[in-house]
Amino acid sequence: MSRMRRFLDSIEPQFHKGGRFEKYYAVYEMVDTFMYSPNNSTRTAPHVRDTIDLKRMMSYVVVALIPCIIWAWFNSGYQANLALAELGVARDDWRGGLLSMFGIGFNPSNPFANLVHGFLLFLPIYLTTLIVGGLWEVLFATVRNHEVNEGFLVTSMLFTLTLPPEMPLWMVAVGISFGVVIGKEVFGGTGKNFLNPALTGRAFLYFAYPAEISGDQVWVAVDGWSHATPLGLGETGGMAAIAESGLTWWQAFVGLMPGSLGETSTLAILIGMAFLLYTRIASWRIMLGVVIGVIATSLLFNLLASDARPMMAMPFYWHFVVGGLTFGLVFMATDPVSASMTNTGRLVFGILIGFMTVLIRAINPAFPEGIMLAILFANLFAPLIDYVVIQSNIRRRERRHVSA
Amino acid sequence: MIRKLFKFHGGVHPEPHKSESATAAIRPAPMPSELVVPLRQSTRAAARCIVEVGQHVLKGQRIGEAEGKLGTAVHAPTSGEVIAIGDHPMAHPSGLTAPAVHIRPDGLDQWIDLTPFDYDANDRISMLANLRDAGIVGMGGAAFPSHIKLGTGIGIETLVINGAECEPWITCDDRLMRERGNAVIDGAAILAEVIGARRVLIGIEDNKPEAVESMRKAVAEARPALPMDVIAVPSLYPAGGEKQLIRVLTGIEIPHGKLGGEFGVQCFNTGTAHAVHRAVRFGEPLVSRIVTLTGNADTPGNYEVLVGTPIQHLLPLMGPRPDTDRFLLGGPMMGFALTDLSVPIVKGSNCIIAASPTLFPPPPAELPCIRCGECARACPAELQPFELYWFSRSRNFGKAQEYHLFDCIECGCCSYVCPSHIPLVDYYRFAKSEIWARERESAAADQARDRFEFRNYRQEREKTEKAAKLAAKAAETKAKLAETEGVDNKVQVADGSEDPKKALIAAALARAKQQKAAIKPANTDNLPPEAEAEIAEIEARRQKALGGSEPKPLGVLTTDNNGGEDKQS
Amino acid sequence: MLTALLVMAGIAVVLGAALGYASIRFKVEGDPLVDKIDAILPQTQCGQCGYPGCKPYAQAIANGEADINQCPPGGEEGIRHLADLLGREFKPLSEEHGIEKPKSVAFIDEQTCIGCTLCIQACPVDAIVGAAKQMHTVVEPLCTGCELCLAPCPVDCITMEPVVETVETWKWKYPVIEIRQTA
Repeated sequence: MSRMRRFLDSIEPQFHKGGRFEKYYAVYEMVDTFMYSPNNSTRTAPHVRDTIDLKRMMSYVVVALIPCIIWAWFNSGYQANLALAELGVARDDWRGGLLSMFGIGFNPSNPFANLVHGFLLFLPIYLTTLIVGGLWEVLFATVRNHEVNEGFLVTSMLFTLTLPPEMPLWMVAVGISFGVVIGKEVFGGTGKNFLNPALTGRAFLYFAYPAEISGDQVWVAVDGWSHATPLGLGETGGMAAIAESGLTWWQAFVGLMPGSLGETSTLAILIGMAFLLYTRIASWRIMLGVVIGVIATSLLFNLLASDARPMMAMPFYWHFVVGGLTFGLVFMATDPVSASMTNTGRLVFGILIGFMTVLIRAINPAFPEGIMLAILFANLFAPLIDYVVIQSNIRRRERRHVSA
Repeated sequence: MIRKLFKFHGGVHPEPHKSESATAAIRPAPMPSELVVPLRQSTRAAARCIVEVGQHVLKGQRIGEAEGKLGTAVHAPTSGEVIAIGDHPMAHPSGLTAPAVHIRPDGLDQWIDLTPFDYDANDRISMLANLRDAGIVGMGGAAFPSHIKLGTGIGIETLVINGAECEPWITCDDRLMRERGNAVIDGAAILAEVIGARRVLIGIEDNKPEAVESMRKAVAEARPALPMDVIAVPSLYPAGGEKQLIRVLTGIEIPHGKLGGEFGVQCFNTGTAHAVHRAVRFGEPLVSRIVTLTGNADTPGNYEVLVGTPIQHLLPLMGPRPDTDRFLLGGPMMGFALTDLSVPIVKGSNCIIAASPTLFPPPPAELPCIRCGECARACPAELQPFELYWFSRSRNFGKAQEYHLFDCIECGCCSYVCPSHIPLVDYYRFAKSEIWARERESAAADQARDRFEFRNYRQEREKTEKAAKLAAKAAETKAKLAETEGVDNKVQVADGSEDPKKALIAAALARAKQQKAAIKPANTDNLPPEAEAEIAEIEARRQKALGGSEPKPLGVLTTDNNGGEDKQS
Repeated sequence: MLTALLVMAGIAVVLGAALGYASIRFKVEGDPLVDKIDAILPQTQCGQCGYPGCKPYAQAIANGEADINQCPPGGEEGIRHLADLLGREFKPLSEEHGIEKPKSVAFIDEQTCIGCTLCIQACPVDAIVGAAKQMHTVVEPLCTGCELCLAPCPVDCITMEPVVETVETWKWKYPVIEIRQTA
């Protein structure tokens, strides 16, 4: 028995009923089960189990996010360095100090410099998310006497990746607080929330601080450098504006464009998607549904395109590479807790998301990005979709049995 | 011949672990020093004990008489002396006790006179009675009386013999089919004849090629009158579930609340077929069965065990390793951990597994459901396990039933795949037993209500009848008086004579009552009995509601109310 | 002006007709409340609530004369169900009406019984059989455990035996996984 185990066992009584730290049992439990698997559970049939478990599912999602994370580091650094180079200024905050101190520099054509720069942009946001959100998690777990759930790791990572690189940290803290508390814990915690917590937090920021999160300026981590996202360009000037900016489809596909941390590279997301599909963690039906929805709706709008709404003319293959559509469709829409759970329902759920995304992108000038609201909207409809599917299943089976 | 097989929904692939115990031949288990034969072989029915303490019994002698619709007989598994009749822990997850006959073997193992049953000379009814009295039940685990299954089978086209044995670890049917294939085939032929089937399908999972081979050989040798096919079905738990196997072999899907018999299919276990063969061809009642002893053990294997052998007596045969922490009765998917090792083997016990924390790790703590839908994908009954879980968990039993909770076969596939380690089956079992308990309670309450209302009605009727009788008597007395005393009643009254006065009052009362009594029948003359009961009920309620405050029209409930008050004090 | 009046009058007529139709179409038959309450009550007919049987108590609850916490055999669960049905607050069982006991059935000691038939008369559900000067016995499945037969017995030969759990009545427990081990 390891020293750690002995130590944990020796302090365990303090956390039991009547012990000094009774209230902090959840904290103890989190540390304990993080390192060791628990052994206090009932023993009834079945006595054997499949190897898949919740922790593994959650860690698989994080693994699937790795390409996005690495790309987030590289691209946000690249975009920042590019801006610095263009403006001809130096970075004068702590990041700049660190980068100069180690002689890494700000050369946009040096991938390593980009990577480190981006990492320094990513790290504070992620740490803030993790610490603030983690505090809420532990607080609720302690009060409710349940354990801290691993799902939080996924939520915090997703939330971070949907943010622009230079989001003020206090806003990050407010956003994740809202996401965790209102999006999840008030409904009873993991598994009982009907909205995706990361998206809830993101949506809150979107509506609370629209200037910071949805304007043209924020997407690159350098003050005073205005370079709109392709989606923003498309919103105002249509495909012509995007073409004018010099962005090719392949660039957009690889992700060399300004945008939120994790959502720019469709390629990196596709790698993660392959992993999720291979491990059967995410539902292919939802993804397929979104793809169908997006293609069908954008084709429809292509037919109806007018000068007043330039976005309507955007072809579907552009829809997938700009903005957060692919990121949302792979990682957000497939969150099983807030998605539909019947197979037919999942398809319908996906189609609804796809349809709503393009609808919001093309029709509503106030919201260039549609996927976030579309997913939240579909989350609300998920129980209804499931209800209809299950009731119709029951009816169909009963009919079949009557005739049999 | 290539036969088209069908698929059932869901299913899982647990580690089979068949090879541990499947290699060695069936050996007889040694005779224990004491046999404990439960009169209740399953939860369904208990047999009535027909032996006494001190009585000497022979092997195969009936010690329990079949009682009730689902009852079957119980027999002495060996010759010896009945040393006690009393409660003993039962092979049941609750660990509760049930009456059992304790027999001390005399070592002679002497059979009673055995007479084979000649089906040709007897009719179907006596065949079924014979099976019931031979104690033949389903040997797959549920121990459902076979004669009932055979008896309901009218218009049975297909007889399915279930040799799938889909649960991991268990190999008793496998060995039985390998070693006694001829007997199983003969038993199947008898079953087919009794039930009037036109074909027999023997389904065996394809991870038992030797058993398939042996059975095919046995069919070839037996040259049965009916077409008999031995079919290897894909190994997929729970292919051995009755509805699942029928689905795989015939494509027939048996709907909610129906049984195979209604669709021309009936299913029996291979062990049952073997027991039927012994009972019919040799007259031997069911006193022993094959039990797999396996798991965390040095010498796993299959043994022919007498019914009533305490499990602790069998454990040395397999030699459990030191780190064994509990023993499972049944397979790892559906079996349960024994709380008491003195539990005897019953007719439905197929396997004992020595469990260790390494082989059967304790389930990790339950985590929240994230609605991933894995359980729905695995469910062979095509249910929505997570919906059922939420309803069961929140004790919303009505909803759970609406989502067909009772179609759940408790196979454990959903719990097996659940990434949050939710003991889903436990929730369903909880909900099911809770619903049954509620149904029992509400049935008891309904009965009590009916009986209470009828009692009130009866009491009232008795009072009325009594009063009417009294009045008639009084009227008679009065008439007599008037006759004898003649003309002058007034004188009599003035005389202060008590009797006529009383008679007068009684007569007045009687008139009033008669009026009442007369009115009532006039009203209710042509009413159906339900309406009459209703009237009585309303009448009773009205009087109760009036309570003690208002004058009671018939003075019926006085005693009742007093009784009630007495209770409170 | 006239048009406005006509329109208003027209609307009034139409709405009135709709309301009238609705009241006929969706008429609720009778007052099922008493039956609903009665269905929750355990039907022991023991009178511990102060009413002569479960139905009168149900009636009294429906009329607002009695409180919902007067039924000891129904216990806490029964009160909860009543509270749910009536939309009232849960309150603990009123002590003056008795305490919740495990379900029991009456048992007559046949050696002591003198055959007085008093218990037979007291039994609200006719669950005791016997005749004058003959031994009596309780028909166990019918007994509601109301204890009304205890008091009348002149020789105190009736006792209440708790109903033991058998494999037929055994229930699977609610699967609770203790996060906090009971120390």
